[in-house]
Amino acid sequence: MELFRALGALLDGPCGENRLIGHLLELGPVPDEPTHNDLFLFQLYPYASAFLGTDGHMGGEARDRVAGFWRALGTTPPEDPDHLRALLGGYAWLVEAQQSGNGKTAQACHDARHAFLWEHLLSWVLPFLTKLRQIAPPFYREWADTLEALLFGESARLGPPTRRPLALREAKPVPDPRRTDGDSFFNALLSPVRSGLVLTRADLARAARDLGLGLRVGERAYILRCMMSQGPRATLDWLACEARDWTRLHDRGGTTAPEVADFWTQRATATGRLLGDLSADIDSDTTANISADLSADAHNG
Amino acid sequence: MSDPGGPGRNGSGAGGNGSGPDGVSRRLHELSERVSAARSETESRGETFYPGPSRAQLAAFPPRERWDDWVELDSKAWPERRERRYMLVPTTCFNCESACGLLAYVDRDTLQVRKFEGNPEHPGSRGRNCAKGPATLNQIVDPDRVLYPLKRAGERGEGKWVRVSWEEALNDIATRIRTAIDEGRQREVMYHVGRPGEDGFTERLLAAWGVDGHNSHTNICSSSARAGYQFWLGMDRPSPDHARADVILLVSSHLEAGHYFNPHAQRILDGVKKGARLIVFDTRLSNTATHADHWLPTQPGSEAAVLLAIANHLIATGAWDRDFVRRWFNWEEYLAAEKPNLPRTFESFEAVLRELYEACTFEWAAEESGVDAEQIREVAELVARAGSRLSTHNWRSAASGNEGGWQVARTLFFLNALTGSVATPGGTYPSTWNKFIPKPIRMPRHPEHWNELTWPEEYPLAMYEVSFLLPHLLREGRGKLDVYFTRVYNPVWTNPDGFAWIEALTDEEKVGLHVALTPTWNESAYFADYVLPMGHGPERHDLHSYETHDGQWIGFRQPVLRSARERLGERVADTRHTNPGEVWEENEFWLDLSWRIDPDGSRGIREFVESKENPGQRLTVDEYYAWMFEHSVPGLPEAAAAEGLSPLDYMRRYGAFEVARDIGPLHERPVPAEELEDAREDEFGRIYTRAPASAAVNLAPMGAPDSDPEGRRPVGVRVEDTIRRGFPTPSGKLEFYSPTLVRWGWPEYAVPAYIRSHVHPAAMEPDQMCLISTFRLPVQIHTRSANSKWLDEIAHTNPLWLHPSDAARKGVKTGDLVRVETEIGHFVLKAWVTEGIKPGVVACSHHMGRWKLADAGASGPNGGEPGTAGRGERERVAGQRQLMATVSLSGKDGDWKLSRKQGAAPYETDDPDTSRIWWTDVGVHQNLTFPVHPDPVSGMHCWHQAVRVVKASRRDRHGDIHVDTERSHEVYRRWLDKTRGARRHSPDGTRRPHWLIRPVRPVRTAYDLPEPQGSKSPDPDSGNTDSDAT
Repeated sequence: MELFRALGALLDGPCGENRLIGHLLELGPVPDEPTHNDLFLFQLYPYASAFLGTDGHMGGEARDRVAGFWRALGTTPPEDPDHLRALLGGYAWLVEAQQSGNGKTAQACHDARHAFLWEHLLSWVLPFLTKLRQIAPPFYREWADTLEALLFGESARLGPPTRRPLALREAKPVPDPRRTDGDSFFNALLSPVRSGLVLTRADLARAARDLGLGLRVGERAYILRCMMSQGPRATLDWLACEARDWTRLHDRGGTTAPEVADFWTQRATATGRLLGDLSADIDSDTTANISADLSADAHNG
Repeated sequence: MSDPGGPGRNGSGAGGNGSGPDGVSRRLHELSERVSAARSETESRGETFYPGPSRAQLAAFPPRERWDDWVELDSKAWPERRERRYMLVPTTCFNCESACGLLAYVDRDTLQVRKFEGNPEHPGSRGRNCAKGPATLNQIVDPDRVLYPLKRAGERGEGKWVRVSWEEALNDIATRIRTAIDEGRQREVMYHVGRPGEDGFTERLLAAWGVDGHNSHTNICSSSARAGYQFWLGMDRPSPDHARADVILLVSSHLEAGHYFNPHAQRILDGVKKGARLIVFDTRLSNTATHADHWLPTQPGSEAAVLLAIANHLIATGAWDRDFVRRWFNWEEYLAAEKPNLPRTFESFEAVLRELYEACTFEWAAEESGVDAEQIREVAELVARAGSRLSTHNWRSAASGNEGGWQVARTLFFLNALTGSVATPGGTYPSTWNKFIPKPIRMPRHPEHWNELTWPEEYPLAMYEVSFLLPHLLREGRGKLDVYFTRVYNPVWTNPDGFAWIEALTDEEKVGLHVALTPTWNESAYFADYVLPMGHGPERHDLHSYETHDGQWIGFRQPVLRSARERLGERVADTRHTNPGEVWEENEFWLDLSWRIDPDGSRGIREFVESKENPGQRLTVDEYYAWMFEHSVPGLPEAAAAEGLSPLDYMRRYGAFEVARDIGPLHERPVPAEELEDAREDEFGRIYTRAPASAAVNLAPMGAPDSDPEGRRPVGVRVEDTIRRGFPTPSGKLEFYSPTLVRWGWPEYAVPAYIRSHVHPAAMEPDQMCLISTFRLPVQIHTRSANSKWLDEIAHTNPLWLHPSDAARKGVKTGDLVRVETEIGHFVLKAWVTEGIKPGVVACSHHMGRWKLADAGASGPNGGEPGTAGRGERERVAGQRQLMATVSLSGKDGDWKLSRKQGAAPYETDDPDTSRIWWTDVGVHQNLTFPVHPDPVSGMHCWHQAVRVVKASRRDRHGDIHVDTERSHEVYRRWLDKTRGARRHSPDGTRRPHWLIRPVRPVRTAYDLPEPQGSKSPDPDSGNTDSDAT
């Protein structure tokens, strides 16, 4: 189980101690601190809540769920309980508690370990790793491969969940903006559990560049609004294309963890369908009004 | 199940447990085993494998490679998304001694500071701050701050000021100092410091002037605790390793205040999260006590008794580190001196040790402290289980409250010494090993005279200057001051017996020129001749290092706007050019003043402040720091070069540098053979050598044990068969037995002991109670936060804590006015009835009761225009309006009264918040009513007061103060009678043991006691004349 803890520690960045861990795990040249910072502070946030929360933000109910898990076990939650480092360290701790416990305690720890694996790790980590492999240098790609193999090994060892993880069961899909407001739509698009998409700042910069749109600096929802204001159809088409890509990416995990991969695949598919409809409908009065509404706040900035 | 998210305690890898035989599983299992093995090996060496749990959380900081151009949305512009571009410039906080790292967010468009946050690059504070750090913003935009040099225009204290140029002020002050030096009156120049700035800067500067005039606030702060550590270690502070401790024992409230509060608090919490148990001694239910596993509400002054009971438990049960004690206590010296008839074996010492403390039972400690014996036993057993992972801390608290308080620190460290938790992971380190002071560009010579106003011969063992006695020493005619600097210090308000200070400061025969160097108006500045505006933390340079953990770091305080402009390519040669108004920084001020004192270089002062790069010109702060960073900080030039920066640019960019980590037990290091030239060993194993000492890399102060009679320097101590570096004590060992105390007149305190306090119940009248007045509020800053609106709104008054049983007895309820009567007067304030205080004890916090004079506004906060005395903002009283009451002050023949005329109130400025001030009550200035209580050994003011608390009469008004300074002088004389001065008790005709730490150490000959007036030699048989040193 030391491997879980060691992989978690590497999320802290390339400090002296972690260089040794990286070396032991043969992950290749350790990236410098700016690279690490750009990856995990600006692009891909290693927090469960950033993937499972209703609007893609950190904290909130998604974080409380993890903290509540520890409280239910009678322990104090760690700081930032949904940070992947804390989750991996916590999982290692659970396994060790199971191994050192006897009878009832060991069984309770086993049950907790099974629940934790599915509810708080496999529920979101696979799309996180998929995205990481797309944007990270070799060191973190190797890291992602190792972690994924480790998680799959655990899922095979412990068996499937009786039900889909709670966060997935309760996540609502992206709402149709023709029947709701712009904020809800953009926030849902940026919430991976709702849209099935993982959109980083770099992705949006790439989109602006590819589509010839101006890139405004700000939070991701703001960037999206600005793009919509400049090229609504192009933006919707680009997003739909992203959704299709994510459908394929999620589907690849279907053989090893179908209990969650199916969910993510369906989400990305549904989002892609909605975006396609919106794009096709862009000239209709309804959608044109919505498009104006969606981009309205951008002009106020 | 204690630590689900942190690094686990069990290293048993299970990665491949139950996995199949496929290649992936095998590979994962192999990797897991490899990490487990590496972890076990690392941790077996006592080192940390996984970095601390804080890094993930600190990821919220802007990464340093983006500090030049950081974009944030302006929160005030919400809901509009307005971007702000910042340059992040590090500095350090100036609002307590911890000097935590700050990042100034300098708006790139306006070049104004918009906010302060923590600096994640600072090894001590690690990006975290208390409320006082961000509130620095309030200080720099304070509308009532002093912005220009001011000169008194009327009588001293009359409140009339006129703006003058820096040139005029500098020339006037320099001329006076030059004249004093030329006339051999160096003793008449004194610098009195409150909040320290740069380690050693001003001490070196005064030494360059040949002036032994350094006067610190230490003797109203920490000198008793320092004494307790110094006698043990030769170093005067503890550096507890809380984060790795199993048991943390605090005689303090370090989760909320004290040195070094924020760095220590976060490490205490790190330790607690890993399962450490927290024990807190505090009469008051502090915020720290609320977080403790064991809170021991001790009777004030009884702490040493409880600590000795724990020591007795360790000794009696064998739960001590016998081997460590055998190797590192100076037990042979003890047996030789105190038990010469016993065989000089460790077994003899063990038996004596048991006897020495066997009377210190839990029941005895319970009787003294009022804490249940069973609880003391539980705590003792916890300490016994901690082994070498016991971190302890005492700084002020009980040590500074009580006569004999120095024994609190001494008995506390006794527990570390017994358990061998000295310089161990999770134990307690000596301060000096965890501090780094680089050598500066120039080192001065030692002054040739001794200042008796700061080091009177009655207090030969005083830890630092007996600063708070100055008015009484002046009154007795022991000397006078021609130039007296108060520098970010406010003795009238902070010290006990403030009216005696006013009497001294208004008497031009005693104080010829009073120069107040201060960022803000304060109660002492009203009685100055010059008020010279000095910068707050982000407006000045300082370099410092504090013992926050087992490591060494330096933190760089810098004027952030100067640094920002320089980053943009501008050249700034004078910090005044980027500070508000004509606010200056001290380092440039002192360099300039020194240059003027010795204009032709004939006094040897000028060379100390002369540029090496440009001979004939004054040293600049850039050259001063560039030289130091280039030549005196190991590793910094290399770290800077790796980023393509000069060392100075590196420090300007990141604000801190970690010199070393995991220092470990330096006392165990063997002395290399080449250092043992013509070595001699004394009968207790102390080794002396003729080999010259290598040039000191680290100037952190420590004891300087004497050479042997043939002039060899002490270099180590034999421990078993090896010569080890040891401790900077005369014996080279931990001085359980202090020959220093014995030889200088205190044989009854030769070993750690309990001294009953002056506020012990047996020492008080039945109707008296003990008043605790020293505790701090977590969000206030001695006397510089009176216009920090964020802090003031949180804490702005200081009611009297009163237990419900005492309140019922006196018929008082919360909000009622009570009169607190001290030995010399009384003060009136509101009662707060709370179970958070022990029955029979009352408490009133520090910080509150600030005041400004009703008639001090003749020329407004910044005086009249240059040359126009008194024509300023006439409607304004000079002072800060958010936390200072306006008072009337009257005094005649020592009978002083202070009455509040108006409390805080809303007022109009550009800041709408000033019109929203909702509080009126700003507390009461209790320190005015305290006489001086100098501890006869440490010289520390013993703050606790025996008082009578009565319901206020109809004539009493909130904030009323009445004091008789004639009585205060009588109290001073009474405490002086307790001393055992050098005149009678010096073993060698000197004023003070030379080995003890002392700022601005004069030449050796200055230590010799002068011939007493009217006689040729001291007469030891003439009775106790210690107090009659005039």
